[in-house]
Amino acid sequence: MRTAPAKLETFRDDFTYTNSKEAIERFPFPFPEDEYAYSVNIEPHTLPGPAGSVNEFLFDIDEHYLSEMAERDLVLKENPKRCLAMPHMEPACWDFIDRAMTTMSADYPDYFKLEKNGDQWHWQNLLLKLDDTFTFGDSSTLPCPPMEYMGRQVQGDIALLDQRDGDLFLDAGIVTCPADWSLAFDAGMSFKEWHGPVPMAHEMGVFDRALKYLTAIPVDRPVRRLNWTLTVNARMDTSPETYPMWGAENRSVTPENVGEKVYLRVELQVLDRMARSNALMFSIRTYLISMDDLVTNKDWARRMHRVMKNLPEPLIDYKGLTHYHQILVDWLAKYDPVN
Amino acid sequence: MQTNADKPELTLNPGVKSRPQYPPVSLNPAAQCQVFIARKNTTGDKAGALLKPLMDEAEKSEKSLNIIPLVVGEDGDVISMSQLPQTISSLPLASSFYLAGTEAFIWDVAKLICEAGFIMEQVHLLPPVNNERRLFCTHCYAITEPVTHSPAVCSGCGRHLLVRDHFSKIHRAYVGVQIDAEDPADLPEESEELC
Repeated sequence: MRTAPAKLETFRDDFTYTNSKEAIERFPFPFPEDEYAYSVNIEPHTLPGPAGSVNEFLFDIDEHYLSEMAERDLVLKENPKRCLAMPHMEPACWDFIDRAMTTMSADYPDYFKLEKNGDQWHWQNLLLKLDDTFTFGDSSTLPCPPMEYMGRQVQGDIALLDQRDGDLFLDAGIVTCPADWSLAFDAGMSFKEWHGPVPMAHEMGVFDRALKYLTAIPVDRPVRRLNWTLTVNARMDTSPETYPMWGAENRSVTPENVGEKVYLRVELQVLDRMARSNALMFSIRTYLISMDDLVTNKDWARRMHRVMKNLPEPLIDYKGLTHYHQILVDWLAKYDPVN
Repeated sequence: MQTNADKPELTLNPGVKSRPQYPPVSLNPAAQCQVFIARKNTTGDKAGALLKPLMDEAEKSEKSLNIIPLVVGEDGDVISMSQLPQTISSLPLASSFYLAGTEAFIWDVAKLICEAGFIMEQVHLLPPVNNERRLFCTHCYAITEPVTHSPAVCSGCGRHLLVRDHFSKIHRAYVGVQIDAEDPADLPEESEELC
């Protein structure tokens, strides 16, 4: 079930973020097996998905909408370069606006309204109290650049990937809640370049297979995969840019506070072909759940223990879990009776 | 059912795949114009030495109509970086470029060549002449160069940055991340020389 956006929570300082019972129930738990293995775990994102689930619509709008949009505003005010679009990505940005407005107004008619009169569009975002009229395709008629304008109205990070020479290039995006990667540095990179630091997967041929698959995605056939890491505190902006501000928190986990401090961070990644520009929209929708909330589901608790216990060393390092991984495994053990 | 036998063998390679590789360069005999660009080097002419075998080969070839050596520097007898775009844009479309110098230099020149309308397939990069790197601070976005040791002090924010092997062709730089953000005790007493 989906709870309407109402509350305003924080993802920094006092960390007032919490999940309702409904949000816990619909949390996209990412482990299908007791042992975590790298794979090209891509599957069709057939819409609409199960009612109320995170897969129901192309853009999942949930109870955290207002909070995440307020957090995004804070990040962009601190550092406007967290959003960028190379000049040749203008058509792709407008594709993104079209796709987002068209689907969101159809999927959430109580929250978003769109009227089209030729290229004159009238958009109302009742949640953020926006009421804008603009000429489709003419960026000068928007209050801010198109990537930022739409990016400020959807939950999750968005990257727009330009497709050329059989490869995908990270040429536009709004990235304010990344799991430790920098849009400013990775901008313009090819698919394999921006995955350069990922351990093991290159040798396994994961990226060769993924790239072949992704470049062949047709219009109206989005695909999805889940990715995961752990985060200390309900911090959305775990970017390299702000790492000096949050790095020390990785050392703050103790056996006593694991349940409330450590969050499973799951990214629902959706790739969707843009009709005019042929770019790929890559949306990275982040969900956070505290260990205390996660273990209210007994199956999740047991599996979480087994996955964490068997995690290969290079992944522990790459995901930045080195300093609290063992504390977490020990704490989870009590939910796995066999152990 | 997936069994352990189905799982691919994990071979661990600590190398970061975005770090440029510099395979051996051979002369493109079909090029109408062979362009050799080297950085003027104050500590011996390493860049020139790298290019010399290719230039010798080009001179022997009957097909190459033009051999153009360009040395980039600040003195009067060489061409400056700011003059380079104009020179490059006057070259025939069927040119091949051979670049030698520091890593930041060869990628800077490669960028100028591509901006002039050539494609990367026409550009051949010789291995960097030394271990100097350009460093992009992921916290304040300042550039620090040359960097030969890790950690390095950022020229912008002064933080001690771990120099990673993750390279951006847009910035023509490696990324640096604060090494002691989690604990000031993580700052090593001595820095390590980069390779």
